[in-house]
Amino acid sequence: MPYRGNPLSEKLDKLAFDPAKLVKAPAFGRRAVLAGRLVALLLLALTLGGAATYIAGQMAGYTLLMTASPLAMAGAATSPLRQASGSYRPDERERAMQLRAVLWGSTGTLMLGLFGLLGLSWNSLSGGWIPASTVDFLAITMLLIALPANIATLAAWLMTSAAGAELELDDEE
Amino acid sequence: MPRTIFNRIALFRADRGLTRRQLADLVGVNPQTIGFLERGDYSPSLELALAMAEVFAVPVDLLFAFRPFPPLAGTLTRSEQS
Repeated sequence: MPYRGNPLSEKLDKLAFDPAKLVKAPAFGRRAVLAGRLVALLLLALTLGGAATYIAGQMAGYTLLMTASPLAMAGAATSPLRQASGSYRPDERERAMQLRAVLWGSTGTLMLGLFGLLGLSWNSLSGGWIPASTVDFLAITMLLIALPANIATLAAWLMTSAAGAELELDDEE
Repeated sequence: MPRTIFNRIALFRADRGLTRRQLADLVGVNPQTIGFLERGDYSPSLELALAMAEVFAVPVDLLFAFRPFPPLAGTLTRSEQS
């Protein structure tokens, strides 16, 4: 029997009787946020390190890039960047955060692409590394797949840091 | 540059004895979003602002404003003196 009299209590009662209306929000504690930021940073380092190693002439760099791409996707899927899952739909703040993080990823990759093209132009004049074989272009493709996802994941975790602390404060009430 | 929006969400939430989770369930957002709103780290959409005003049963301008709200103690003192 719903409580009558206090409008707020009545609303809360209705929610309690209709669990489908409850927001099943993801809970990122302080440890999860710190771990997420560390993993995102490591994945970004793996991607950039793989590219640098490949350009330096080591085929191990190609393996690193091939590993980094699926890991970047997995990292994004387990971060605050992930889209709606199950009955949970991100609210307006979360959607805004996701958009901002993806924008960071796209902008970062665009900047790297622009500077990379400048570097390749310079290399073509000075006899440095320029992509020539199919594997070279595959390596660049892997880099362009992994990099925006890694930057966006890192940005999303950085924007979630305060939320982890907030949730713990809420639990203390 | 967006203008800063000040709010009294924490004040009304405490007055009604609601936790962040309960308020979040009532307006349909993540509980963490309530914390972001209370700290002023996030400005709500018109829909969310109206939903909050509806939950607390107050006009939306009592909940959100472009200028900082006067301290509650000062407001109470003035109203008691008058």
